[in-house]
Amino acid sequence: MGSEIYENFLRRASAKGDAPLFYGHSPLSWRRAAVEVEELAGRFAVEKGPLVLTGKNSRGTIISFIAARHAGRMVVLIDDLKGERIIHSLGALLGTFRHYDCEGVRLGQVYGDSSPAEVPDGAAFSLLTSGSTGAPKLVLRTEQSLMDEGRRYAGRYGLHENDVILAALPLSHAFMFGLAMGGLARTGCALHLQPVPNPLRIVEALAEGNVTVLPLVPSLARLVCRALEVKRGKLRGTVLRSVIVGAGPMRKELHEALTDRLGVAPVRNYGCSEMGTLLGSLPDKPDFETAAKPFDGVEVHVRPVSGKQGMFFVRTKSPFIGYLTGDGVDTGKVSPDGWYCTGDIAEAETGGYITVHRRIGEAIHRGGRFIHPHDVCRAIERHPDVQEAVITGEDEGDGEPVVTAWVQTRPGSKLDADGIRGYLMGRLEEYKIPARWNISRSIPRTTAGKAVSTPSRGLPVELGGILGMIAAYRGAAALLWAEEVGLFEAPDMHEGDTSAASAASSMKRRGKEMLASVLSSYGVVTRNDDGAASLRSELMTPFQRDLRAFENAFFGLLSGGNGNPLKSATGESRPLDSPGIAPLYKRLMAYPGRKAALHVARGEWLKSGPVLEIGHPTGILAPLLNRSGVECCRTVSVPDLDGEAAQPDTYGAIYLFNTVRRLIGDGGAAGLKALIRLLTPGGYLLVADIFIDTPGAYAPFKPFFQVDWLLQRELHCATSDELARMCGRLGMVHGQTRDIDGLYSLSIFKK
Amino acid sequence: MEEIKRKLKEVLVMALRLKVPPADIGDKGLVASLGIDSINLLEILIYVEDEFKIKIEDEDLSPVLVDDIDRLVGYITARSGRSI
Repeated sequence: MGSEIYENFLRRASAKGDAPLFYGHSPLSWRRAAVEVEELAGRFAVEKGPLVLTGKNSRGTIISFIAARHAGRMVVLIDDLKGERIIHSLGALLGTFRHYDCEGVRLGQVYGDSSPAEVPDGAAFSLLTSGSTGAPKLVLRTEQSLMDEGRRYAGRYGLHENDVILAALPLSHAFMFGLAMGGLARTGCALHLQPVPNPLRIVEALAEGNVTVLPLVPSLARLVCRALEVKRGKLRGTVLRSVIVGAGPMRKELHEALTDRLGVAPVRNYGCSEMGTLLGSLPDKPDFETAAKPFDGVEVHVRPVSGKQGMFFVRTKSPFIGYLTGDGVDTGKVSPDGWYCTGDIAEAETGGYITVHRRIGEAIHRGGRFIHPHDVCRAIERHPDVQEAVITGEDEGDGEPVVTAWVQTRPGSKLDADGIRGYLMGRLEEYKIPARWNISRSIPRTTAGKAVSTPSRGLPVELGGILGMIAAYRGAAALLWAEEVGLFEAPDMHEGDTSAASAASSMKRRGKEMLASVLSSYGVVTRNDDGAASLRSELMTPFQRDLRAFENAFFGLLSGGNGNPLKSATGESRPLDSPGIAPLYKRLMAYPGRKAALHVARGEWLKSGPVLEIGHPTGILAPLLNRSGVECCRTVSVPDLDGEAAQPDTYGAIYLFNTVRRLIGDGGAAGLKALIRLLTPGGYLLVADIFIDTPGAYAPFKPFFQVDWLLQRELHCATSDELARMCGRLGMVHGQTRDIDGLYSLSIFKK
Repeated sequence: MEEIKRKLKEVLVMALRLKVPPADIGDKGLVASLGIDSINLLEILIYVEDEFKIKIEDEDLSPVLVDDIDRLVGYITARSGRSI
């Protein structure tokens, strides 16, 4: 199938001939651009696999993109490919890929030593995003989604073929790319390209008189205003007709300054890398900061969580395909009928307006109270010496996030933590005042100037050592320990329960032996003083971070308070005793719960009858399902299961969650069979638990996913893989996945 | 050169809204001592271009340029054609 973007481009080029396509530092006509596209497409077509395009905004970026689409190759847009870390990250996601330097107009190296990633046919391009988690992800988008973005801008803001968009923000930025490339592809408008977002050059370009549409992010918008202020100028008499501010809230002061200096009332744009632009404000709405209306073709839904505020869902005709992960394409973020949760809390207002308030999960839950970072930021930013603040909940191993402030002070300020704390007293509830302060003259930012929402202190981890150990060790030892110690059965074991204390003591001894064995088998770990191989925590997935937090607590407990063995091995400071290990564990186990909830909500595993959750701890799946609109989830703890067993053919799906050993006990396969009897015909039994896939790495210890153990007497399965094969032979396996961030799930349906 | 340097320090105070006298600003290690980030860099650029009537090329935009007063003075001088 051909490329619609290329076909559209070719048609426009034929009609426009020598009219300019690009203005700015590298002007080019439509006719000449078409020649360059054809030449480059020929070079791209001689091989397959993803193309990684790099370079500052240049005509090469647009030409290369169109040429790559003509050649049928998926494109990844990033700023640059400097450094082993980004190459390693992309290699893990893409397999083998070709680099093309758009600025230098030259083919770069082929990187990676594995097969190129298998991406769906419709995947046209990919943007690197970190979202709110800080973990890099590749978002897979279709051509149609880009064309739709262009259509939305055309419909709302009248973008047309005579427009010239000033592209000064990086084209690897979703907002800029959607407007520039989507607009060009859809309407045939021209672009004024600038390699860096320089406010003075922007003002000059506006003064030249050909730019009609100016996209900005708030930080750059402020700089443009300042440049005009210094030059004591106001732009008048230009052809500029639309200023679109995206990727952040536009406060009233900024709205007024832009209106005054540019002579055009700016509009606010809201969107995401996954779905493109979604909401656009209109000049008639006085709430400048957040309220906007969905573009035509964008359906919105707010699922209430607290009062009128709720999770913000959107649906378009061209949703993103999924994330490209090291294990393939993760399509789990979009429901089968196309709804996507943007990850924001929003509110539906009268007149069809939507106000976006904050990110879901942004609230920090500490000490039984919810602390909204936005409230704390606002209070801190009122201090005259503060330029900007970011608030995060940092996991320090005690089971609850510590409210941490990242404060950028104004130049020359001597403000310190005590100074800000004193300022906040009486202005902010005491429990909201951050406990940790990082005060400096800069806050980590993205290339578009957005403050990184989770700045990290850059916890150094030896890449090949600790991560290798974690990958293999998983939570298995921790789970083994937790169950045998009876942590969840006797949370008060530290308060005098002698049998539990004795068991704990025994486990600590055993834990030390385990740890010594693991450390020895991995040759762990020497500290890398130059930090060259360190991995920052923001590069980890959320699961990896949660797992690490849990293991910190676990190893700390194993040490019995006599020094942390990981610290002595790595030189890394880690917390010791952690009374909050149970909540950490529960959070870890919520991963398979969420995954199962998604599958159930899609209807994949809910053929008939309600869902039964048998969880330990209980109650993780039910709220997730309820949130997804499945309200027939019944939660049963393990001891109550006997009563259920007397009612066969009751449940459409049974989710067996972290209960395998506990549920089945010595009953072997009888327990599994009893569960299958509870299913309606065609119903599914889902098994999810922490799983170890490399048992050879620590032979002294049993793999924790012990389906083999529970079934071995009758079915002779030595491992969970064998169980899956065996069930497959019996025609009972519906599917098995290992895409829950390393956890394992298996679904067995009743014949 | 001293005149340009003095003016440059005044520009830094204005651009970054510093609360220190221009004379208190050192000559080297400004990125660290003043905590200059990428946005501050652009703010400085706005004032430097306006004050010295020069154009700073995009490829020259770098924290290295403003980290050392003498280097920046040299750059301004070269761009403006002034003699030191």
